[in-house]
Amino acid sequence: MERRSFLKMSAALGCAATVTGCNSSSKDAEPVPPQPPVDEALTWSACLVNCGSNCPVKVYSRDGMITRVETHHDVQDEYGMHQVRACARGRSLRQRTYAFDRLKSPMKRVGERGEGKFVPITWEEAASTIGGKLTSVIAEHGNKAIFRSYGSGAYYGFASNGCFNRLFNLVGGCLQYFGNYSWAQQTEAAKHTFGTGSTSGSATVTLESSDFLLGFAYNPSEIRQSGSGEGYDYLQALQRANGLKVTMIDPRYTDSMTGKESSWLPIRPGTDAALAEAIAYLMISSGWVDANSIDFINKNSVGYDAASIEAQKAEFAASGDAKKVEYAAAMDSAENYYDYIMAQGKFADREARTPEWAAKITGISEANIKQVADDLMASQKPYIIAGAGVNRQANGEQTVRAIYMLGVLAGKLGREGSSNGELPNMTNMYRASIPTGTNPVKEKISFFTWSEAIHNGETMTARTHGITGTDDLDTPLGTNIKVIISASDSSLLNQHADINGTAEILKDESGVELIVSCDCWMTPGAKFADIIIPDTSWLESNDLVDDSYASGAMGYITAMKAAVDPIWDCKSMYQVSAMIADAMGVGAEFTEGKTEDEWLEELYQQTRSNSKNLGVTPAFPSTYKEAQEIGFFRKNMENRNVALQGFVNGGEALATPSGKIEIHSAELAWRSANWEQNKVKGDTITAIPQYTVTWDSYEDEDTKDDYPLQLAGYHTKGRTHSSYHNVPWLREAVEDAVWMNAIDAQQYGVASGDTVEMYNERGSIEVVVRITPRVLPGVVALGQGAWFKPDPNGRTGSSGKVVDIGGAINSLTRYMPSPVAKGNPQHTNRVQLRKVL
Amino acid sequence: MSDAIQYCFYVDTTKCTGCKACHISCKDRQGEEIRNATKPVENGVPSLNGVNWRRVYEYGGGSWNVDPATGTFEQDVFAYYMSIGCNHCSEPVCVKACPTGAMHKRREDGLVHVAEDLCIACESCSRACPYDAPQLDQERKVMTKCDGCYDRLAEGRKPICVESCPMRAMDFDTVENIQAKYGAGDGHIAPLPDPSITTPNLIIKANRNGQPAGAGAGKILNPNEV
Repeated sequence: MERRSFLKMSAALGCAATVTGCNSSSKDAEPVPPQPPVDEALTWSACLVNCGSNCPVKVYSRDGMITRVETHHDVQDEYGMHQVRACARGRSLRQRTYAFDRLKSPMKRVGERGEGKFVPITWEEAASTIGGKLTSVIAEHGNKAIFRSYGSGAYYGFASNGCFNRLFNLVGGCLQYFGNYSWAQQTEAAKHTFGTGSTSGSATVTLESSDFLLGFAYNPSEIRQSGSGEGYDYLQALQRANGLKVTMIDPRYTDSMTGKESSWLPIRPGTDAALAEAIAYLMISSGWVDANSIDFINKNSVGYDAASIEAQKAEFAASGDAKKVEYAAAMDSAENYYDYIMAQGKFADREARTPEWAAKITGISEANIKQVADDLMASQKPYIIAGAGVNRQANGEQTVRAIYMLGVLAGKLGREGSSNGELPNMTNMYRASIPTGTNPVKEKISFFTWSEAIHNGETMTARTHGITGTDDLDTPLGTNIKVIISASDSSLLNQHADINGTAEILKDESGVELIVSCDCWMTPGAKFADIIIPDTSWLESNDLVDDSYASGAMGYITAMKAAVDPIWDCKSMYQVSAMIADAMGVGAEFTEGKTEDEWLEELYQQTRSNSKNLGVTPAFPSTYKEAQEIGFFRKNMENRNVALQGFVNGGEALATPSGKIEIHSAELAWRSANWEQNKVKGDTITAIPQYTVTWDSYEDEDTKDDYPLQLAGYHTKGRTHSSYHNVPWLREAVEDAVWMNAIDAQQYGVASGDTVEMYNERGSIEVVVRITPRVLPGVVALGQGAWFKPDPNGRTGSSGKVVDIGGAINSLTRYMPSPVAKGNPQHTNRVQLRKVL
Repeated sequence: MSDAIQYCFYVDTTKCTGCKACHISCKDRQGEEIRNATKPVENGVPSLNGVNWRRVYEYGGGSWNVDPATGTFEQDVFAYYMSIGCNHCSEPVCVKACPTGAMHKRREDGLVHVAEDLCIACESCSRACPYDAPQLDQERKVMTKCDGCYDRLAEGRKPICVESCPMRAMDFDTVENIQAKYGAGDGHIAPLPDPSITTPNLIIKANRNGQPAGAGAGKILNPNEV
């Protein structure tokens, strides 16, 4: 709603002049405070989306109706043992639970895939249809033709989407995936640099001991909103810190800044590696590295100079280990970091990585780059962190590795207050989950390549698509995907790249033969399902859940208890998996003869007795039923992890091939020599990190003219990915508008509130514009996760594709697996826009 | 001031991240207060679009300069958030503006309430209030507003917005208790108006970017969200 200006000074002053003793009181009109209803019941539930925290919520109900949702606010609130307060999303759960688009009974498709035409069926028909198709596809194509796509919309411990894997594993298994939409490229970058998984950085609480925070796309205040998560730890650390300089590199002026920063350096998306390399140039060319950190580098890493690579090659060659001998053959000492940065030797034909070079690319001035380098060199405890936004790029592996170099060059790793660029390490309480069994299928595809494996699975290999578990580089996967179970999952369409292209693949019934959607709401992907099975919502569930993966310094467990019975004809993922198992003749093996109560009791007892949970507050009672009455349990995990401490100070080897930090990665040298590359611009693998110009990047001359704006996707506060998009309260509170700088707005002739078509060759979306100084010129920014909604009249846009009036950013993103991880490049986008009205 | 209780909000704008938990938690309670006959299974939970007892204003500004030779940028951008419900002002202009007496300030606790049976929905109060506190319920044609969670206060609780705040940026208590805990605050900052207009019961800890009240260099960046 368009309101009048907040500061209506003229009117307000006018009134003020007339105010004289205005304490009028109308005693008669006093409402009587309502008494709390005596029959109101309280149960505990939790918000289970993929933001990194599973906040508990207290659910009040009366006569079988949920009346309100509150949060954890009436116990001790000392930092370390603090309350776990849910964000706006958790507070909107009542509206989400009673949403109009809840799936209310099993259904089968009667129209075309994507049309959204369904008729109700019985649970028995749903289970027998799914079970029958699974049986026939396994007989004809084998278990590799069965796939459950990546889904993170309901992090249950018991009735999770893992129940479908439990089912599959009882009938011969399914095709599995590695990686995920959040961290694919950084996982590989960290693995090949530090032998870690990209989440072993120093704990957020230790930021309070630092003197310099250098954050690249680091935005915990928006991404981790929980009142007991990484965002809260971040605020606490900043408020406790003494003399901490905060420098943030981001295309947006984020809520992790808003007064908390010392300096914001707006950067063009995807160019962070150029900035990192210019900082490295200043550290090296000034002689600072030689004077300050060369001993650290020589002792702890491989690849800074040619000598370190030669020494490692010799060690590998003499190791007698066949893989390491191959590494030695692939490693080239001419590919060393010093020569690359300084443009010497093999790299003599390139421009040196000077601030002057980087300024033109990044948009950050030479003076500002020098300032960052000076701050880093002066810092005794630099906390460097690369947020995951830099990894979801066309060659995000390179960007992340380039940033990881800065901590190595500074040479201060292993001290509290320093960090190495990875996301902060988190420690959880232990929570048992339903066992999924053993999958006899050994092959895995990248989570991202499932849509390609529908038609090309037969020929995809390790060399072409990074498939693991095959005999050798050229042994194909050998099977196309024929059945997809999409459970609490929007990667089936909305959250995957290239919605229009994906929709075409899904519509082809000769490709994937059965699509099953198991969710609570009619999502854009569910409309492509053949069978819909409605899940119970969190507030209708008994389950055991933990604090998730980015929940900060405190661990916790919630013993969920259903506030109300299933409101419509819904069943949990456990129940429906058991029904399908029964239809396939493995029902007894699936349930092991246990009731749901018995399963929960068993998982609870495993949780209760785990040594990691010792000292929990309050103490775990003896039974699960009693635990549900208490509801919520927490523990200060006392995690002050310092990145690489055991390696730097304790002499422990890293899990890299060399056991050291690999600036020159042996595995990537080998992949560079063996994997297929150069399918598109920037599709390259190099042994050392290198800023790489890719398709649709700032320096991509091929798309610059047609699509002059870079589009940055970000995590909006009004959803978690696509979860909660269908909640009207949140849609009003957090507007979905594309951010645009006034300089661009003037050029395009648009104003705040105008609707524009934003498009490229992959699609068109219609969105509202917000003019804001909080994004840099040449870049527009849109919150990801809005639900794809093709124009009902089929109207096409400038792209020639149907106009998505829902404004899903993935109508514009590209399906193009990244070079190393075969991951998602969903932040690498160029667009054009035009005013519609 | 007499010995009657006067309540007061406290907002720490160095902590607020604009997450809207206060706005949404208020809406969850508010729906029950002004739509008692809901049948959620049949009708869903009312959206109450445009009726926001608590709103979070995003205030920001700054200028951009592009160096044409290098394509690099210099800027002095700033932004911060301001969560506002009703300040239950000591000189409430809404009360003065109300022609029927529906808008009134309660003697016992200083909360400003609407007597709905007296309200004629003329919107005089909402035009007068410089904080946008009165929010018209279009469907019922009656003015509504932050009631200070008087029911929760009676139970010894704080307002739902305060208890919801993930960053612990808000508090609420008697003026005396708030002042004892936080002092007099930093004075009001934009987009708040000059406090002399209504003598609001609101103590602010100022963001580092805080602009002068009633005269800031920025503007509200999220008009459609408030």
